[in-house]
Amino acid sequence: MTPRSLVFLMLLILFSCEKDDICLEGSPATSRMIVLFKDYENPQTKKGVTELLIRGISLADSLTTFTGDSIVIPLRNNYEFTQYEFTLSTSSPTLSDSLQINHHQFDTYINRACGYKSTFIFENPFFYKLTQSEGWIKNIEKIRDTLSDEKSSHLAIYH
Amino acid sequence: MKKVHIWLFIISLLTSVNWTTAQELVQEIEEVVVDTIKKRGEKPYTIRFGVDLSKPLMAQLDKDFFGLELVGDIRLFSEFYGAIELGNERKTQQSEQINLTTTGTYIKLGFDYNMYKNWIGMNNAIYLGMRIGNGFFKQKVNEYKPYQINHYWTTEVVKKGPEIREQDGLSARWIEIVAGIKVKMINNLYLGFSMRLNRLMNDTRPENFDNLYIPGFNKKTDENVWGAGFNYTLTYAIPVKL
Repeated sequence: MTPRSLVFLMLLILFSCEKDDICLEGSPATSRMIVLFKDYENPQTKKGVTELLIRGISLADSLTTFTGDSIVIPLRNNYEFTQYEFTLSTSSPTLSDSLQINHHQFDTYINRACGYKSTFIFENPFFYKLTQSEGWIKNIEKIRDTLSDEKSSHLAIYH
Repeated sequence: MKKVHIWLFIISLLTSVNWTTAQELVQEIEEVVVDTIKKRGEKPYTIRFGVDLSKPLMAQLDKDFFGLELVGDIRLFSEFYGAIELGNERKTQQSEQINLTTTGTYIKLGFDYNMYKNWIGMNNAIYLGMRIGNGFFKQKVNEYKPYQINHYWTTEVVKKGPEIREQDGLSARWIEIVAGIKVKMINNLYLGFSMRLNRLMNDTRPENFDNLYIPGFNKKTDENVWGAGFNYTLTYAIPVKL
């Protein structure tokens, strides 16, 4: 092998293949809040909602119109609270509740491509009800303090 | 599979060196037989020292980078040279989600083996070598964007908090395989270019973060321990007759 071909080989190896830094799907990300809807009269059983409009306060677009008994809701990073308006459009008159979820966060390094992920922790008190009038939400209970994963519910709403 | 290829490459490098040595040995023995005293007299112990030109150039083009590298080598015996590189770097970069500044110094010590047959009195080189590199540095996280799957709320860039901090006392050790050339320009001035394949041996990581960049070693990846580098040197040679 001549020196020239060696240098060429070195060049090839050094500058040919470098993997792009893409944060792969399935990498640990910031966990969202999982809310479970339960029956106020019968606290042991789940009670789904139908066509519940969820909208972040100060945002124009709604998050979703939801039917079911458990939903994933994102929290706002780098703020101490997240405000949502929950409107039950099927009821007449239309009932609406606005909630402020209080939280703080700590950030954990994952890897080069993904950077950091946030973990939210509920403050005490963990929520404020922003609407004065009677709404459809009867009670709110926290199930887990730390939003470290999305495997089970963090919050229960009784209605 | 990747490792196998890398080892094949290293082994091929080594075998080629051995091959050249064997051939040279034969030639050298012949030369020794012909004229020992004359050859010794015309091959002085040359000390070369200088700077890496690429780093000041990159510093001019990129305001987020500062770098200086001093290089030196000395002929020890036959075609073996002792080599040293001393450097200092400050680099601010946006690495995907994180903006960070790395500051530190490094020292690389090792040897070069010259494969180029010089005419008598000349001192050009095509060489292969090895270095052991040591880096001492600190890393500062300037800001970052936490990774979120959902973008309903705009992800705020974190600019203050417990993770926005400087962590010092970091160090790294690595091995380099070097291939390069040195060509005489005028008088005792030489221009050189070298490429390096680096293998990280160990590094102390900052708490809740990683060494994304190591001065002297360059970019550190998550997948493997390999890195790469190069330098472009301007050196001045002082002949020392012992």
